[in-house]
Formats: sequence, structure tokens, C-alpha cells
Amino acid sequence: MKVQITSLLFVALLGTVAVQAQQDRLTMNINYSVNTPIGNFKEESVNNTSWRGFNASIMYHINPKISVGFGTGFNDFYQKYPRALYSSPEGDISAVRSISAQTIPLLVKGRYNFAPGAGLQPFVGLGVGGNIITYDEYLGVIANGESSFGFAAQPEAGIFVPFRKEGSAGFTLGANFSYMPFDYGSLNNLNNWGVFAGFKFPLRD
Amino acid sequence: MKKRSWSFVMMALFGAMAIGGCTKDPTEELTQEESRIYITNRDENANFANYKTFSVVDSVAVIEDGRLTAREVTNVDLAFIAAVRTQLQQRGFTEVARDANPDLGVNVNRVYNTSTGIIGYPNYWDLYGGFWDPFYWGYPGFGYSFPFYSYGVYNITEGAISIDIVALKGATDNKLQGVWTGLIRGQGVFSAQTAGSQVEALFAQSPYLQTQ
Repeated sequence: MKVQITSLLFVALLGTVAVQAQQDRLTMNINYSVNTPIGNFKEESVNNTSWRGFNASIMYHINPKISVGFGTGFNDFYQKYPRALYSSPEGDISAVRSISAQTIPLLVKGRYNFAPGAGLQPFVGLGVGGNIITYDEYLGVIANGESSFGFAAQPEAGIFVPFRKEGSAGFTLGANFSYMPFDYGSLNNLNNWGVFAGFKFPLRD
Repeated sequence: MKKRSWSFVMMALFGAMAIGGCTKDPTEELTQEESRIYITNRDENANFANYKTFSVVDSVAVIEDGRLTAREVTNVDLAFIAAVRTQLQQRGFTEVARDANPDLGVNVNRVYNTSTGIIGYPNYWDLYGGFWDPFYWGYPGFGYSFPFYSYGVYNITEGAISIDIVALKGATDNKLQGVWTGLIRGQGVFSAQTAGSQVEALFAQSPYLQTQ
């Protein structure tokens, strides 16, 4: 719950920033996102896709092609393994192992729009910044884990489909890759890739 | 910013909250059986083939926060004692009376640990949504002032079953050597209906525990 409040406060902060800037160049983008672990994260921890996620950003359009701003998001990864026997120096433990991981990236972002004003506007972007991580491993109902703040980088590509020609409100559809280092036992990252879909709308008077 | 823009922002925030609120709680995804963990440990130097007979306690020791507080014989206790007896007999051991010089002695314990926490509630009275507005008492515009810090105390008690096997045969140096221990933690542990399956799970992960 604390992790989710942090993300929502950051999105609210993005909203207050809007009041300060030149608002007709300011847009907000919020998407539902589905993300899948890859690499070490998938092999050592969770291989289930997360269907509980979103990403959001507020971007200031320096010119029709380039925009910069802030972005955040949330993903909840979960996996339950069948009962198994785990041997350790403390003894043999038979348990149902569960893993729960949440990530909240806090990014400075840039986007490049290849075809501003067109009916279909492909874009690429990159976000770099920090990442709030909560990671818990359960044996039965006994939990161990840690929360930390790490690094995150998130390249993305997608298309923006405006509701009307030359409009700044419309649908967004895209994909991203999240680079998220994280050390916990044999786990060394929470890298994942995902797809997202949502809306972009202007913040202006 | 226009009201419509703020409406979009608020709808976006609520949408994000709805998605973010869908975090899975792993403990809610477990059945009682799945919540239980079975921990066993053994003396690596013990050769169980050297032991032939055993005796089990006739009551269960109740240990609360590290202190023995009682010896009891409830239906649940009897179920666990019977289950331990069955498992050892299935592994070739013979039960004898306590005064017949058994090779192994078996203790069964109910262990309780209580943890205490304190939650502070500073200034909760400022949140009128959960507290009476002073307007109700005829003092509009007033606030509340309490000359003391508000807090709440909570206790969480967790229970577990522990089974200890000690070597009575060859005991020296005024010490009874523990050769095996089993611990069951989780939800629904104290159940006469599932005592048999729980003890069976403990012994199933201890294939070395047999007399031949």
C-alpha cells in the first residue's frame, strides 16, 4: 500500500508541475501495461506475466517532434510454486514458495515523434532514473525480502493515434523494455518487457 | 488549468489507483495446507539403525514465549502423539514403556510466541472524516487538542508443533542428545483432523529416520 501511495503522489506531483509550465504544449499519457519478466528475473524468480500495471507520464513538447518530461509506473509480479523441499544449513524445509515483487520507476523521459500531425504518429522514447522496489519471498506465510531504491532505464516505441487531425488527444499503443538492476540472493535484476495501451490528452487552459 | 483537464487528471489518478490496488497478497492465495511449513533437522552423526525401541510422552508440553507453562492432553495433543507413534512404528521402531529402557525418547510440544507492536496515531482527530467535527458539539471552527500522544498496542501470537527425538541409549555426560527435530508452522496447525497428515509430512522428508 505504501508503494502504491508513493506512485500516486508522484503522478499528482506531475499534475502540479503542469500548472507552472506553458500548458498548451503539455500532455499527460496514461496507459494500462502488461509486463513479462526476462532473463535472470524469469529464471530465478517469477516467470508469470504481470497483468497488474500502468505507466504514466507528463511531457512538455519542445517542438512538434521532441518532448521531455517525467514518467512513472507500477507493476506487480507474482508467482506461486508447488510445495517442494528446500535444504539449508538450518535443516530441510518443505514449503509452498511464493514471490511478490513490485516496481515503481521514477524517470526523466524524452520522446521523439516521427510524424507530428499525421493520422498515425510513431514515436520512440527513453526514460532514465530511479526505481522503488519491494521484493518478498514467502515460505508458506513466512515472508523475507527487502525494499530498495535502484536504477531504471526504459526505452520504448509505439504509435500515437490522435482523435482528430492535428489534435493532441488520442490513443497510445506501444512496447517497452525495463532495465532494473536488483540484488537478492541469486537474483541480480528485475528486467522485463511489456506492452501498453492508453490515452494521451493535453493539459491546457 | 481548466476543470476538464483536472477531470482527466483525476480520472487518470483513480484509474492508476484501481490498477495499483490490484497487488496480489501471496498469503491470501494459500490454502491452510499450503500455508504450513515443515522444518526438520537431524544430528548428522546419529545412525538410526542403532536404535530399535522408542517411548512417546503421554502429554504435550505447552511452551509460551520460551517458558514451559503447562502439560496438557487435549484431543489435538492426543492426535499428534498417536500420529508420531504410527510413523515411528511404520519405520520399524517398537514402542515400549517409559521405564523399559527405550532407545529413543520422543517429546511433543505446542510452542507459542507472541510479538507486540505499537501503532502511533498522532493527530488523527484532525481527519474529520473519521472523527466528530467540533461543529457537532456547538463549537464550529474549533479544533481538537489532546495533551497526550495517542497509540494502540497489538499482539500477534503464532503457534507451532515441535517434535523432538532424543537418544536415551548411550546417554553420557549428564546430557540427552537430540537426534532429530521436527517443526510445523502455519495456519490450522492445531487440528486433530489433520494431525496425521502433518506428522506424515514431517517424516516423509526424513527418509533416514528408520531402524534398518
